[in-house]
Formats: sequence, C-alpha cells, structure tokens
Amino acid sequence: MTLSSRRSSTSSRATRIVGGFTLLGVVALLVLGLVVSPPDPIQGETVRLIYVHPASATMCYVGFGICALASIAYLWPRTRNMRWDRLAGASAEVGVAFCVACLVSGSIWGRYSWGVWWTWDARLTLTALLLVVFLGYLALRRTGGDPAGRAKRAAITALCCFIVVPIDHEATNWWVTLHQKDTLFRIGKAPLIQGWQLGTMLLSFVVFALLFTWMLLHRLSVEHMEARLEDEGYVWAVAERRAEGSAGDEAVLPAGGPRPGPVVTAVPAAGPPPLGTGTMSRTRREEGR
Amino acid sequence: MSNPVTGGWDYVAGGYGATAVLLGGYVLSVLRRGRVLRRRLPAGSPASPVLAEVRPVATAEEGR
Repeated sequence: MTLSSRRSSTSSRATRIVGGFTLLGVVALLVLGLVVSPPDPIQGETVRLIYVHPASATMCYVGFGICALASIAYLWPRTRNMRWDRLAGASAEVGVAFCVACLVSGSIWGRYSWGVWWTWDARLTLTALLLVVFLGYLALRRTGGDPAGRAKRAAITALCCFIVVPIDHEATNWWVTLHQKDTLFRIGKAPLIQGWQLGTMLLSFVVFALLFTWMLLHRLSVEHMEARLEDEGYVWAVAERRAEGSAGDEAVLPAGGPRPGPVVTAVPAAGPPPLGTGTMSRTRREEGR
Repeated sequence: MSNPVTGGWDYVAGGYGATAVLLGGYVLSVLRRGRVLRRRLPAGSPASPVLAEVRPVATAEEGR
C-alpha cells in the first residue's frame, strides 16, 4: 500500500495543514470550554453550550453566504465557470451540516432554558426554514439534464434561498422572541460576557471556521472528482458502445497508451462503471470549466 | 430543567456529543465518497487503483 492510498482520497497539502490546526483548536476549545471557563450564575454549566451553538449557526450562515456569492459569480457572464457552481454546491452542503448541528444543539439548550425541545419562535422557525430551503436547493442540484442549465437554475435558486439568511439573523431584533438577542456584536454596547467566557467564545468561532474550511476543501475535492468522472465516463461509455458494435473484431493497440483520433479510447479490464450520458459531459466541456 | 445531580452537565454532554456525531458523521461520509470516487476514476489519476487495469481498445475500423 502506497502512502497516497493510505491517505484520504480527498486530502491535499491544504487539507492536512488546515486539519492539523483544526485538531489543535478543537482540543484547546474543549479544554477551555469544559474545564477553564467558569459556569454562569443563572444558566449554570449549560452556558458551555455557547461555545458550540452560536459558532455552528455562524458557519451555517457562512456556508450559505459562500453559496450565494459563488452563484452570483456563476451567473455573471464574465466569470461564468462550472467551478463556481461546484463551490456553491459544496459550501451549501457543508452549511446544511452546520445548520443541523445548530438546530440540534439549540434544541438541547432550549430544553434546559425554556423547558421545551422546540417552540415556533421566529428565530427557530426561520432557521428550520433555512434548512428546508437549502435541502431543496441540494435536491435541485441532483436533478439530471444539461449541466449548464442545471447550474443556472441552481444559482438562481440559491440566491432566492439566501434571502432567508438576513431575515433569520435579524429575527431576534425584528420580533419578540424567546431566543436571546446577540451576545457579542451589539451596536454601541459591550458584549454580555467577559473574561474566559468571552475568550472561549471567540476561540470557538475561529475553530469552527477552521473546521468549516477543512470540510469545504474535502467536499470540493469530491465535487471535482464527480465532475471529472462524469466527463471521462462519456469516453468510457462511447468505448463500450463501440466495443459492443465491433464484437468479434479483436483490435489491440501498441503499448504506450491510446493513439490520437476519434475512434481510439481506453476502457478498464473490468468494464466501464455505470456512469451518466455523454450529452452532459459534452456540455460541461463546452462550458469551459 | 436541570437535574440537581448532574448540574446541567447532561445537557452539555448532549449538545457537544450531538454536534460531534453530526459533523463527524458528515465528514466520514464525505471522505468515504471521496474514496469510492477515487477508485472509479479512470486513467490519468495517479492515485487511482483502476489505472493499473486499464487496457487500450480500438474499434473495428482501427483494428483492420
């Protein structure tokens, strides 16, 4: 087994560096959050959830924000490129993961603070709506058809979905809600927490940002591999059709790989994998990715 | 409400544990998808195990 095969298939130098810092940050956050940071006079030990829940919510917003920006870049004719579409899809998916983590950790905290796991509070409802609309966005990305058209539809949908983000963020200011208002960033006012609690909460944002970056890099790598497989799968599918058409004709090329020309290609010994159609791949190439 | 015995630590454990399980599970699924895709990738990928099994094939016209 080679070194490269032992490593994760989506790993790179960047993921290893970011992953190392993330690991160190998580350890530091656990020590500070669970040991060093003092309990709250009112909330007791459960205040320690403040080092997980707000950072998850922020990364959820960041994920959907990157998705919206990448969608704008895709829709803009001068910057149109399938790489933006892939970045949008990857960041939305990571954002959804953080959104679920935010809802679950918030629900547990709410059970302690409010006595219920869930209530139809404006902030909670809008966050749940945010999750649902971006799940719909991810489902839309999985629809078949022309990749360019699908990417355009997805980009427009992402921008529509993103409208919920600022409304969700401002929900505690616009409506009377059970959910508390901002703890850190209060205009013209000092943060509601100080000392170790403040420092640990700020660290939680840094650590979760590193974690988000690490997850996004891996997810983006998967997107690139899927796209490449779709492209090269077209060549494999053509080879398979031609091999079927020329059954009985044995043709072997000289060593050194396939020769140039439209009729020469390569297939694996075990046969081509089940892949998409060629139309999608051609369109993707024409897109100039 | 808080259990007087646990002092709220049960909620803390639940929140941290649920976050770790959710995000960790997602990361593992992404890494697994990456490994599966890498195995399916055709020639041109240095880390692809399929690369060694690739053999050239020509069409009937080319063979003649």
